[in-house]
Amino acid sequence: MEAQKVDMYIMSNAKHFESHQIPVIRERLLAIDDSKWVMIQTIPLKDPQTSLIVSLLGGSLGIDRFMIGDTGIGVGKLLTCGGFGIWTIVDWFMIQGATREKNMQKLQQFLY
Amino acid sequence: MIATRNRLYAFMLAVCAAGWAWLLMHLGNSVNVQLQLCWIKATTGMPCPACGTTRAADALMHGRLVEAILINPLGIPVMMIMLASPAWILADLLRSNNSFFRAFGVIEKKLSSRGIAFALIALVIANWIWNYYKGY
Repeated sequence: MEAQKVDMYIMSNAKHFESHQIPVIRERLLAIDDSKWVMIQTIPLKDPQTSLIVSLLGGSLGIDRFMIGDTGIGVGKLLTCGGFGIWTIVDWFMIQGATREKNMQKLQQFLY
Repeated sequence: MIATRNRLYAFMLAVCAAGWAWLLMHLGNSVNVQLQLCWIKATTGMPCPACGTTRAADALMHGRLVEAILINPLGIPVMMIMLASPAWILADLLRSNNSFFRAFGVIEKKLSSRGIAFALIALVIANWIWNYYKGY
């Protein structure tokens, strides 16, 4: 893919991924075929900051985990009053990283 | 979903161990639990949908099924998960299999489908309202 398109994608989506993943994403995007560009652009990525707000407000009910697609963990949090409150606090610090990991998993389907 | 089999198994075993430790600590005495760990109840005074699960699990352990349902029906799935998943995981580990990991993925996908998700959300909200009127 053209370097200009790739750089534009990286600039507008950098916050959705872990910083150490950016060079790999760039490298892979440069290597893949141009026909995948439309699909890559339309992948619905979740904003880590939105996840954090949801986690602060609805973490006890597992809504943050449901939102990013971790349904199993979400059910676990919901059934245990947010993991007896402890899991809720742990997720305030973990949810942004978990969201970025989820975004990477979604993108990876098209990168390899 | 947790990406690898071993991470999911370690996570599930840790969660179940914590659940069993909590339950056995309060077995037979769950009505008098003083420790307030529910954020929603601590901040708003309102119960959350899962408030009463320890008491329901305690009642189930003593064979009082109807009482458990009346306290909080969520105690039943919690007990089922806490009983079945460690046994399933240990069987998987002994046979070097990953059937629990695959089943977890399938169930997660099913729960995420729109129809089932909305039905379950409605049930949880209904349970929450019921909990509120019970005054937990």
